[in-house]
Amino acid sequence: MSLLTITNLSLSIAGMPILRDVSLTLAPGEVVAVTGESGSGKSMTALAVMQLLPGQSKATGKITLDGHDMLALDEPALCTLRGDLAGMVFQEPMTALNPVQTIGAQVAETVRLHRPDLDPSTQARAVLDRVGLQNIPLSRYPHELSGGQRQRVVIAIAIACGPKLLIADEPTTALDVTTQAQILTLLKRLAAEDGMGLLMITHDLAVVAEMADRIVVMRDGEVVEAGDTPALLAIPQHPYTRALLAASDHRVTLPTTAEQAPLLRVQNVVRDYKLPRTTLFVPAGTHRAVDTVSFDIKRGERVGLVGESGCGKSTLTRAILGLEPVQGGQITLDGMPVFNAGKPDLSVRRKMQVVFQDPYGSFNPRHRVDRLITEPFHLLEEPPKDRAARIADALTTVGLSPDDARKYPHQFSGGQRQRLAIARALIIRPELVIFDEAVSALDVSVRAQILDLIADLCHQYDLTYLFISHDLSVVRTITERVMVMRQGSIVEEGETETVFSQPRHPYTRQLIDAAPTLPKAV
Amino acid sequence: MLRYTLKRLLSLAISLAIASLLIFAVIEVAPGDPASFMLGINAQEDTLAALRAELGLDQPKWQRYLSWVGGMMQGDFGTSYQYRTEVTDMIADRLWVSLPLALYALTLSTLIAFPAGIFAASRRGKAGDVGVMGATQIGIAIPNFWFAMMLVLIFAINLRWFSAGGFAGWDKGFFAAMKSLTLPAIALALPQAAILARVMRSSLLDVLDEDFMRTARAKGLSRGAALRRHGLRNAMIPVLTILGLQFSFLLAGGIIIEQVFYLPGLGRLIFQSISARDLIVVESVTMLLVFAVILVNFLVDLAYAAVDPRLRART
Amino acid sequence: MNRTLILGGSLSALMVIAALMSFVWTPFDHGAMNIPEKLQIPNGTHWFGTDHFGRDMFSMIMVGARTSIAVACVAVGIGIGLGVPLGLWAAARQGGWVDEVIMRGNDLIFAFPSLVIAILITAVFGAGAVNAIIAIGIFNIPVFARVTRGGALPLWAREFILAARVSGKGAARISVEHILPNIANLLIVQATIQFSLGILAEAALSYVGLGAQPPTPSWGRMLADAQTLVSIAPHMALMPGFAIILTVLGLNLLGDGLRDALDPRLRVSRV
Repeated sequence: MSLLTITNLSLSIAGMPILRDVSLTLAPGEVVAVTGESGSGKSMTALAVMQLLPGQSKATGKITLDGHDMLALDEPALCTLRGDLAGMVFQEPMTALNPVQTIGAQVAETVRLHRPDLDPSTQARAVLDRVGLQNIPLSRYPHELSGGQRQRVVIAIAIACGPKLLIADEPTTALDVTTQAQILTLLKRLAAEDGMGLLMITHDLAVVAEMADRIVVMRDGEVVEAGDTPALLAIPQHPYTRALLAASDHRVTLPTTAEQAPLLRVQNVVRDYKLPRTTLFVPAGTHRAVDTVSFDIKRGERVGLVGESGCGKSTLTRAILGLEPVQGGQITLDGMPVFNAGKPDLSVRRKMQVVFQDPYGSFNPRHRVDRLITEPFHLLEEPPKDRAARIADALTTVGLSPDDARKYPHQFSGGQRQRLAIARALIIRPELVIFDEAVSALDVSVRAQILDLIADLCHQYDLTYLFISHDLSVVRTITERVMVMRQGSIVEEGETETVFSQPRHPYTRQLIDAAPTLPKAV
Repeated sequence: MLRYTLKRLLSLAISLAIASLLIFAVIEVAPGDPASFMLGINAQEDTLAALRAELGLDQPKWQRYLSWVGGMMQGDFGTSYQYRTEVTDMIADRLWVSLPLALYALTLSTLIAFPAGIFAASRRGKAGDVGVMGATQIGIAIPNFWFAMMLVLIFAINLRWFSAGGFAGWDKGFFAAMKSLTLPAIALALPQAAILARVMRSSLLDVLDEDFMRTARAKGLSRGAALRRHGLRNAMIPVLTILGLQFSFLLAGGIIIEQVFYLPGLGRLIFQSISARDLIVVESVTMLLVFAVILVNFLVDLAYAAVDPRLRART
Repeated sequence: MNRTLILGGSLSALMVIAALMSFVWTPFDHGAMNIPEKLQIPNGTHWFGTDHFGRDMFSMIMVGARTSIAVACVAVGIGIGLGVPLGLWAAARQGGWVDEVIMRGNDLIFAFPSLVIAILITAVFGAGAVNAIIAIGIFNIPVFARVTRGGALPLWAREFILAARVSGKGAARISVEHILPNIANLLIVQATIQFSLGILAEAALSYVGLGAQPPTPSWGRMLADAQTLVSIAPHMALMPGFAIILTVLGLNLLGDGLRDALDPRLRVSRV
């Protein structure tokens, strides 16, 4: 007897088909992972089980949860089941909690709703202890906790009444890799201790490879393949699953480069931020985001910079780009300082370009492609005469068509926009390109294509770049040398392969251990 | 929380200081000499000088500013040029009309707007929502003094339920006084209620889209319960801002409504003083109104902190 | 199709047409007194009736639309002309002292009850349309500054602005090239709202005798004239009142319609 059975579930929202004939089962105590890229319908499947679909949704088929026909139940009946029989954990812990209520009250509310016989605050304390928040008082507000702690509170809310099913929708996507490992361990432990069924929704196969009993692969609202984890990972049946697995572990080959003179020199750089004043008459304190960092990047070198959020890598990026002053040390590009307090020094700036993370936020939505990608021409003494040819060339180089020049950015997919961003960065032939989490927001298959493109460009143009990322597997393949950053300092630096296979610093080791990996294909 | 309060108090003091300087400066550049205005064109030069000395008009500007501000801090607004009586007494009488009127209207506006806004938000897109929003759309467009005239026409002249104007006075009893403030309060309140209801609705709809509302639903709260327990308090922050602003609108709007109903409030006082060029009264009444608004904004800031724990922590 | 937009646009257009037409044609001379025909209720000759001097109300309302629209137009212009640059400047210097000074200045203006200050200005410097425009315009500045800054701040955090900075563009250039086009919708919608508030404020000021002075006709003063006569000639109050309500309603509907048509997620401050 299975706990959850979904049979031929089809769903449309405002007439748009979202899911088609989705079927899956989950036995008590079983961990099932639903995976797929964006738009595959995996999150909607989870919301359909809870019957928390957005307005104008029409679902057909059958969802049976512990004997209840979820599509047939009325709203009051669903309310008694939600939080009691099934709990749910969401992706974004920063916004999933009510900011004006204490965490104790929010956990206790679940208890009060479904277990009137229990004392809500005693039970809330007990549940928070279980999720590893022994030292956090009930009277804390969400904003006083870290992202990982908040996610633990969300989990506590979901399991407070001992549900038979826990649905976790991308529960670790917004978290750092070490926190992710802890939350995954916690979920696994809770499911095992309570014999809870766990339905994990994730875009990252590696995250669930170790914990899921079975995996369901979805694409475009349909289930393409389902099976036991080891079998599915070892011998994937469907071509899409195979492509997905290959893309998650995509490798590129970079050309080798001869030793050359340093291009970028970062020497003893210190970057302090003023903290908001806490007392009226005491000078404001400072936060040292970058603490005495030094390194060189030689011409033709591809260097990675890894670290978790808040380690100072974004701050360092802005300092290298000359957007912000530094409080100590010096950054020079080709011997010239990158920051000039007055007008930006165009002769330095034009040697450097950047590709950002968010393919949706990195273009002015009101401008056309030709205007967007030629923005760096502003750095030149005079705009080039062969503007049209340069645009066509840049677009062809990144695998787009010269005809795309008159389109608006919203007419492109995320991956295509990232190609546009690369075209913009390369159009003035900079000597150094900075990739700031440039592939982090992309689906695995698109990410693999962009990595191929970068590798191609290395072969063609002998690119020099600094590749900043939190994703170790990407940095491992796309760089030759890597630096590990933690709390404003670089703790380890060396040949990428050496650092990954024989990490010297304990923090590097911790990062590598925490990063989820797929078992090697047979 | 204490630090937050102190910081707000400091900004309140600075606002008051700048406001008083501005008002003083505006009155200073006003053309016309109060002394010659009071004595008429045939006054002798030495009588004028004596009067100027008596009113303190012969002192340097900065000294007059300081004594004005210093006086106000002790509750002394100076002497009216026109009536030669204490401005403080004149204001005190009028305040007992204007302040109750503003509070009455604010209460009415809140009592109408909150349920209407919550109702509309909970019926988003349905007939009830469309109806309430259509009514508020018209409510916003109606000038309150015109609405007041219509109320007089219907309820005072035709139905004779209320008197067309004037104020019964508090000595005639609470209900008699409140009755004479009822039509003015309705005239003031309804257009403001229309605005407030719209803000309440849109603020609630914004909160309904938040992730934590989904968390609340996932723990088994019904739509209505989630709205009450998690939505309302979060939606209150923009609503509080509007409530604070509305108080200043009600005080100012009251000035005009007092004209329609012949109410002896601050508005009548300010207009009488303008036509008599009794500028010290104009100056003081304006300062008092500004003070009231700044004070209300200060209270709204404190209310923010009470509603939102993040504010308490940050500053 | 967007019905709100059509209805609001038609009502607003009607008022603008009436105002423009009054320059070349009105049924009667709006200033011509005709005591024998005073206080007529609306009829075939005098469509909106006549006032206590026998003047044709319809003609007066047409000419009055001119005053209302002109005052509101210039007042909104003052608000946009000064408020938008200030808001852009404050956003570009977020957290710096420029931002602090501009925003504190805004708060200070907001702290003054607007009508009280309008009364103070017109009282001290004399009643008249120009002073009314200044008084109303001053209060439009912080509204536009705030809306502009509010719209610009999230944009400054976007990566396309960073990309422009990497391309060596300065704050002023970025504000004009990248920020302004992306908050234009917001400003258009806010302008229609401020326009309608300007019409209400002008009516209130001329009602208490501090707006446009005779012989310039204005809706507010027509209502002031009507006040003592409301029991015997209600149409004298009803007609100008309807003119104000329909104009303001039209502008508000136009604003809402534009917002829905341009961007459903647009945030506008309406106070």
